[in-house]
Amino acid sequence: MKASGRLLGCLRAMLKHGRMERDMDAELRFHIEAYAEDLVRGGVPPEEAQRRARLEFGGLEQTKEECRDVRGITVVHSLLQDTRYGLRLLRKSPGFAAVAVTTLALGIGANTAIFSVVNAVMIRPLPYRDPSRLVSITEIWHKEQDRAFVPSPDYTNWSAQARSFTEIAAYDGGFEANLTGAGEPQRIPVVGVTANFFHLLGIASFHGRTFLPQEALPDSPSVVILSYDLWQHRFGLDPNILGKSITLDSESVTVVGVMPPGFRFPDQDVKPLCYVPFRLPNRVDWYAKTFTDTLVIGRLKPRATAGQAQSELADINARDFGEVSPMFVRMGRATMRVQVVNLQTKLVGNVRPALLVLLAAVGLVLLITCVNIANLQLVRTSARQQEFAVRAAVGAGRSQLITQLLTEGAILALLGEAFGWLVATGGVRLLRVFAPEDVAQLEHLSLDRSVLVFTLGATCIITLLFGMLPAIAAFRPDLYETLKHTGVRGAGARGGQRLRKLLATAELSLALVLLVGSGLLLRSFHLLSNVDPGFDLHNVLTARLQLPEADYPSPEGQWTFYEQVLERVRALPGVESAGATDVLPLNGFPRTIGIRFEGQASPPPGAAPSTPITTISPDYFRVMRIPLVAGRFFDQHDGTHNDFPTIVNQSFARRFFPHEDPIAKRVRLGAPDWPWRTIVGVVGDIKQLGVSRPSEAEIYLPYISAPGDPVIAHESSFENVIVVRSRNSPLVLASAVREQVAKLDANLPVFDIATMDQRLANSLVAPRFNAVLLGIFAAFALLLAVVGIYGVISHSASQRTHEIGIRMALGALPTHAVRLLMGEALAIIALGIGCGLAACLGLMRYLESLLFEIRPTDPLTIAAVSLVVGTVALQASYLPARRATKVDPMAALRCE
Amino acid sequence: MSKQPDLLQGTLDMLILKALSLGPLHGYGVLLRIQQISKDRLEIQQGSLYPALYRLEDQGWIAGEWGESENKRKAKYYRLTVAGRRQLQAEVEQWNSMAEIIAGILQAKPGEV
Repeated sequence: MKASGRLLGCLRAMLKHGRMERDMDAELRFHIEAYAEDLVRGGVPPEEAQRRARLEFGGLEQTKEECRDVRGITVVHSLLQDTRYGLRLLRKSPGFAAVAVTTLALGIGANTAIFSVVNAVMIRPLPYRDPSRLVSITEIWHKEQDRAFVPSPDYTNWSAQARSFTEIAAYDGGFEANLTGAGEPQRIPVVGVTANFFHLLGIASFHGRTFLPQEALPDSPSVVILSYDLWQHRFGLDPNILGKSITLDSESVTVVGVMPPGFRFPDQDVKPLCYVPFRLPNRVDWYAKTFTDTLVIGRLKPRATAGQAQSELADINARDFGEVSPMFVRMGRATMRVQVVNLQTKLVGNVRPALLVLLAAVGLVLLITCVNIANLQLVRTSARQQEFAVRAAVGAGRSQLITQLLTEGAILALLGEAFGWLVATGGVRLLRVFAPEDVAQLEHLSLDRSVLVFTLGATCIITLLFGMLPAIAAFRPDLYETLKHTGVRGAGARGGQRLRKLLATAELSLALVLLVGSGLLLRSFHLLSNVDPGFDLHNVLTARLQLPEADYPSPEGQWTFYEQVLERVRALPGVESAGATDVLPLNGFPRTIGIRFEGQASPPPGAAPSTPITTISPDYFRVMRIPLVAGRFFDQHDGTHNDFPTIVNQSFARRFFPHEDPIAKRVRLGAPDWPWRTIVGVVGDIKQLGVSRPSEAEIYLPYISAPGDPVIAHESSFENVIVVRSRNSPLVLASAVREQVAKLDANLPVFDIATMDQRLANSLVAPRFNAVLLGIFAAFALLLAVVGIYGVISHSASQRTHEIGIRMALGALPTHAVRLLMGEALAIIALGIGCGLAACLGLMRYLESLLFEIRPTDPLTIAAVSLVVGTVALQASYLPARRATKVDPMAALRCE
Repeated sequence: MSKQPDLLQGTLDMLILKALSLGPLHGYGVLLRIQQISKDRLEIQQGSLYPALYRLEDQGWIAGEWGESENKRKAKYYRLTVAGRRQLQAEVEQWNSMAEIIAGILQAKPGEV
């Protein structure tokens, strides 16, 4: 009550402030004049009366100040006054104001933008009910290259036995299906989920219902749930969609529900447009012919922890160990590890280090910005030493002067923040466009309340930082000394200059850290983009096709179709050659298959080495320009005889035939009773898994094979990629290729059309994004640091004009004077670089996961960056040092 | 400026209230009346009068109003409010009892304690 009354009084005082000041003035003036008149009446001469009246009244200003204090308006009043004064000062030095506000705006804006990403991805809770209880459950199979999946028997066991969860649900990894019927055929991503999946997430359907448990049974009618997007774009928000049938991969399925708009699947690798029931065997059967990989999520019970849940699931698995088939034992069942992690942590996944690095970098930039402005403020403060002394002499308290400096800091910070918010808005827009796609939740990127709180917090810290520093430095309470100096050079406080040097050193080290970081990322990106992919990826158009099993049941039917497509495509103008493969280079995830060698003892099932296989059209190598190392390519006759030719890559030859010629050797792929295959050729390695991954041993099979080839029959994915080498820009062929396919099968979607160049660029988006962003920050940091050291040296030079004048008058050469100043600069630069390098040693290891074929302590990068920083900083300090010697000795001497 | 002792500060408020209880006055008038009643034995630092007036006004014990002075000039006149009259009474009582106690103590003779 009392406090609020006071506050009200303050507010009232603030509003009526002007009138009160006038009233007070009038009242006091009346007093003094009335007294003077009385004195005159008593015989005192008028002037003398005026003087005595004033004198006896006492300090007029102090009385006013006390009156204001009584009214409680001092705080508000002085704040207003300080603000007005600060603004006036800024208006008087527009250069300083512009530099300070611009750098601050950039610093704050960049921070806000990056923080908004961190916020969207790592901080803001997932859009599900009580998301902190959601976990991702998986098993890591060491012997399977750390592949993470849960075999369906484990999932079934867990759902029956685990007590740490209120429930667990599973989904398959997602797949694609041809959506046909009304409109153009379309290839859409689909995912199978268990019936309780949406319930676990706490998401209700928008229309209709989610799945029923019986819909997961093998013979139940096929149903589908649409995403809002699909409902909107394909079915025009048809209100009567429920109960209608749609055609997925030539099978008719009934729509039972629509998910709400904005629903996001809890796995960034799966972006389904519709959902189907995930059909899992009810019974645990480790000896089943096939088993299903599942991905599992769970909701922890209120008191359970992820750690407890993890050991509980491991216990359940251990109890079941004796039941497991020999195949699972050999796949490394004993070394397999159950992993239960918070869902959000899992989703952030590999983006986390990059984000943290960027946040740290942008934080450093803001720090440098603050240091820089503190530095500029210091210069100004020392020039204003006299002003402060005068103000202190007429009664301003120390706290009042500090408040004023803080107010000035706050004005700058707030202006910086206001413009920074604009910068951030633009930055976020840019980020949305350029950020790598696999950053989870980036579509929800926005400047929300927590971002605002973050920026305001940053602004407060900034205010304190560059308000306090000059304030501390400014107060050598030696009023007399300062006042005595009336010369223009009188203001230099040695302590202030020392602090400035320290700040410039800090700036240089921080900038060096950022530059080394960005240098490493740039070098690594450069290495990445210059990786030889092993084939010629220019002028190659790629387009994916998936033949529905229902329409093309036999491998013969499939390759006949592809051969027809290729024949038509080859006839198109501008096409040099055309081929097909089922796995594209660079982003392929090839299937692997067990392999046995003729003349070697047959290992037990599951223990055989496995290699990826790719099935290709005979002239695929020629189209991609993958070099032949030995033997021959496939030809059109390979399908007609029964020796099942294969081609291996160099890695394969090196790994399995280190001392022999692999040509004409025989290998058996798949089951022990499947046919032997003859190696007819060795081709060069290509970057199959991506430019940053080493090549592995690989096997190629022709997709035209002898009838009944079990590998082709069992492993066919019905999907192929058409690769077309054109004479010039390949993208113009896209619609022509689509047309040719449509002429052969109007129901077949051609999707994911892109040039090989584009695919390479896409795989480099994330590293390029990181490198460019960090590079921008680092350049900005270097610029600020350079401004910092330039400021320090020019200030130092102006301080020592007198000294230099004397020295030169006594016969010193300009070079001596330059050397004098450059000595100072060198000390700062050397110390700055030294500290920066030390910091690099400690910090750069956090970059390790973002680097490709380069160590975080890469000497070349570090040396180059140090050289650049050193040179630039020296140049920046040489300019003012040089200028100092241009001064006429006489003028320099006189200026004291 | 030397500060008034605390006791006197409290006293000044009371004296102002007393002066105003005899009729509305402007600030200078308050000063004159107190000096007049005290027969010039009490010296009041002129500047300290106004913070005291403002404080009393803030507390609602006196109310200020702009009017015209004897020699036709704009001056701010203060008058005692009802609350101010009550406050004056309370302060006077307190002062008297305090004065009595202190006087009693000061008159104490060696044998009486």
